[in-house]
This record gives sequence, structure tokens and C-alpha cells, in this order.
Amino acid sequence: MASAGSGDEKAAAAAMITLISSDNEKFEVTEATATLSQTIRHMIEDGCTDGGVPLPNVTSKILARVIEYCKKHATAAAGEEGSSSSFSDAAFLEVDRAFLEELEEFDDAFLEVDRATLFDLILAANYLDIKGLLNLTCQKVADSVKGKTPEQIREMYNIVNDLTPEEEAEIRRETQWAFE
Amino acid sequence: MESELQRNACKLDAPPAVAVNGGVLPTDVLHEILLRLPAKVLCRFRLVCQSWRSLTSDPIFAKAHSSRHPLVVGLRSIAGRGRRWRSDHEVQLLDPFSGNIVRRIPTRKAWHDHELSTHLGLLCISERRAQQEDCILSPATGEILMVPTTGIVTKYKGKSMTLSTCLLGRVPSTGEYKALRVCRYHDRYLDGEPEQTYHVATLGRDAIWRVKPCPAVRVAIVSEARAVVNGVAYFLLDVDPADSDNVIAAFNLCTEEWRNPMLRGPLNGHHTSAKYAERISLHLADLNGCLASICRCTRGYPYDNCSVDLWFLVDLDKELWIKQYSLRSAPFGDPVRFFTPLAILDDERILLWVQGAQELRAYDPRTTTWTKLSTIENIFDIAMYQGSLLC
Repeated sequence: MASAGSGDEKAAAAAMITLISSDNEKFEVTEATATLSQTIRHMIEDGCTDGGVPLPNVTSKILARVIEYCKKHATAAAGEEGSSSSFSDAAFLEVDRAFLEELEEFDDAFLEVDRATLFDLILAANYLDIKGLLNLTCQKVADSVKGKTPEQIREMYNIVNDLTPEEEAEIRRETQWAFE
Repeated sequence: MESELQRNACKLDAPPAVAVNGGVLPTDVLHEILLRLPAKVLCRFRLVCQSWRSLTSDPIFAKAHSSRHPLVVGLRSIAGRGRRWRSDHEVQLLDPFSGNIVRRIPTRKAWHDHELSTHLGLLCISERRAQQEDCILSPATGEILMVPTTGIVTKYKGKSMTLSTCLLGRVPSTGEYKALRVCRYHDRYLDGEPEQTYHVATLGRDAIWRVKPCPAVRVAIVSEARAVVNGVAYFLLDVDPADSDNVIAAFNLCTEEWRNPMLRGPLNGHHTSAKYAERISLHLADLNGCLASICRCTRGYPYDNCSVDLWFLVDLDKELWIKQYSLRSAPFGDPVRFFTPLAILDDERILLWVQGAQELRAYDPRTTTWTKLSTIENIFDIAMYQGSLLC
């Protein structure tokens, strides 16, 4: 197995990385898939991925979903790179568009999860530093709360209202325009 | 398998702290989510709880939010209200991507030939052709502060004011806001050389206009020819561009003195030979808190071969300029020379205002592609709002 940090050799064979979830399940993924995570990319660069990468904050259920996301997006990225040299501009744009559409469909379907899973995915994306996934999941939450009232937000997320009536009045007064 | 609670207690390596969903989301993640919401929604969400209130009121959060959700500001008339022969204007803050109005603030008066200038969280509206009060307001609080004009004494008897401008700036060392007013006087028949007066007032309760000396050469006072950056007001000179020798007058709002010698512009030594074959015009602007010199270069007729270069002043003391962007194509049939750059967006695209088409467009320098963002009708002058509606 190509050990991390071996420079030129890395590109030759599809180096595999083992990820270990909090409940000790092992996942074998290609380096291209794993390095969508900045956290893992840094570990590979530092040469400390031998014997697997333990991820004590991510359960196997969530890690499986995260890997599914990374695989799809790593393939799309590789596909784009490969196609740019072998197609004419028009054909390239066509392929590019098809890729983007497919990715969008994948992302939409990927987000069809319950709220607890969505939060777990956000935490995993944040911990693993996967920009695309963090962006996708945070936007999903933002869209779902946008039209809600403060009361509905508290109810949705079990938040206790610790503001005094005076403070509430102050907030309304300070930003009156937002309540008009 | 670990329980939800235990796992959440792991706290990752990020600073956790916010009470949402019983402690599930760390602060930086909540920060990420809230950053994606518009300012109005965030102001309402301050009613959720203390931690949401303090997070959305944090100046660092506000800054990150305004760079993600830039706003443009302009004055529009309120139709159907006020007296028949005039209508009042309101200040509107707009989302450049959708053209949607984010906030309206009535000014309770009608403006005629007005000019807008923004500086940090403040906005200054001034009449160009009448000596009346300038209006300075804070869109975040809606507070309106008028600067009196009564203190300005006309020393040119027999001459009348033909043009004026008011610029707003903050002195970095003291945090004070100052207004610089330049008025141009002509005699009755517009004969002879105009004369200009320069006044400064510190904003506050008893703002008084103080007379300031004139610079060595009369400055141009149209809005494209001046900008305030970091406590210094920069002006192009009121001379034929071919004779200007590419110098820029700079007034320091802290010391209230003109820079001597004047600042050398970006084109010194670059374009001397090409000067006569091409038509070059320079404008100044504040782009993302940096002084930018917008150099439009036109070759041939009917001016369709035109390019726009954006130079940034990177070191005032060394007079060092760097050409950062060059806009080449002329999209949508409009020559690029009619485009006014407003800001560099978060994704490195350049936001531009097209006065003729009343459109906001984005130019991507990496792909050299243009995107039409929105149409904003019935707006006279438009500027970037540099403050945040969150504080």
C-alpha cells in the first residue's frame, strides 16, 4: 500500500485510505475521495494515516453518508478534469452542464433526511472540514428556518427563551424596521 | 454505539458553546447557518434567545454577514404621496442580486439633482446645485443627522454657486466623522474661471463649518472624480485630462490639510507615448475600502474598442499602484466605458452599475464573462452600503 507522503508514487496507484468510525467500523476509500476532507488531507500530508484514520466524532451511519457524498463529488471533479482536454469547447460545456445537473439532483436527494441526521451531517462536515458538504447542509437548515417565527424556532430546536420582557421590548425597539 | 448525548459531549475540536437544540450545534456551525440568512430575518431571530441575540449582534459576525450579503443604496421617489408637484424620496437598501428592497428609510423631503456618498455605516445625500442642508443618515438605526449650511459664508459677492459636493469620512485615529464640502462659484454669465471654497465640519451636536485652504489646483467635484478612503479624501483635478499629468489631490481629514506634493496617479510613465493615439479617462472610487483608479481607454470610433483597468493604491507614502483587473469585453451592446465598478464581491466577481440600462451586472475576471444581476429603475445615484444592518 502506498504510504502517505510518498510524493510521485501517490498518483500512480489509487491509494486507499481506511477510515474508522466511532463505533469501530472500517471504510476503505480512495485518496481522491478522502481528500475532499481538509482534515484528512492534512493527515495524509503529515503522513499519519497508516493503520487507518480514527474518527471518534462520526458514527458509521453518518460516515457512510459522508463517504457517499465525497465519492460522488470526487468522481464529478475527476470527470471534469479529464474531459477538459479531450472535448471541443461546446462538447465540454455540454458535459459540464450534464455533470452539474446530475450533481444537483444527487445533492437534493442526499438532503432528504430527518433533522437529527442533517445536524449530524453538519457536525461531521464541520469536523472533517468538507466545504461543499458543510455549505450544502447549512444552506438546507437556513432555508428551513427562514420563514419561521422566533417561537417556531424555539419549538423546533428546543431552545428556552431566556430573554426578559424588557429585553424583548428593547430588541423590537432597536430594530423596529425588521418587524414592520 | 455511543449515545447522542455522549457523542455531543465530545465537543469536536471547535469552540462549542451555543445553546441550540440542547447543546448540539457548536457556535461556529450556528454562525455558518445564520450567516446565510438575510439581515431582516436575523434581527427578528434576536428574539429567539440570549445566545442568538449576542451572536447576531457581534461586530465580527456583522462584518462577515455584510461581505456575504452586499447591499447597494440609492434614493427613489415615493410615488403617489406628498404634494402633486413634487414627491418625497426615500433611501432604499437593495439586494444587488435580486434587486429586492431590503430596507426603506423616508427622508421626508424631495431631492433634485442629488449625489450620494457612503462611508462605513453612514450615508450622505447632498444637492449638487442648491445650497441647502446635506442629509447624513445611518441606515442601520434610521437616524438622520443634518449638517447645517448656515455656517458657510459666501465670500464671492456677485457670484453664484453652481455646483457643490459633500463627502463623508472617518478619521481613523479618533473615530470622528467629518464632512468635507466643496462649493463652486461662477459669475452670472459663467465667464471666467470659477472659484471654489472648501469647508470641513466634524459631525456631532454642534457641527460648524470651518473654512479650509484651497489646494494648489482646483479639484473636480463630480462623483466619479472623488473618493474617501481611510480618512483621506482624493480628488481628480479640474483640468483637461491631457494636462493633468496624472496627479491626484489628497485632503487628510485628520490634519485637515492638503497633501503636498499631490499624489501621483497610476498612469505616470506608463502611457505617455500612447496618450494621443488613445482616449484615456480616469475616475476614482472606493472599492472595498481601497482607493481605486478606474482607467478607461478607448481606441478608434465609435468607441467600441474600449478597455477598463482597475488600479489600486497599495501604498500611499510610496505612491505605489497595482493594476489588479482589466475588463475587456463589451457585453450586451454597451461599451464597457459606461460601467461604474461598485465593489469586488466575495467570489471575486466585480459588481458594476450600468447607468444607461439601469442594471447591476457582475464581471468574472477569471472567465471574462458578464452576468446581469438585476434591474433597478428610477434611481438617480447608486452606491455600495458599507455598513451592516445588524449593528
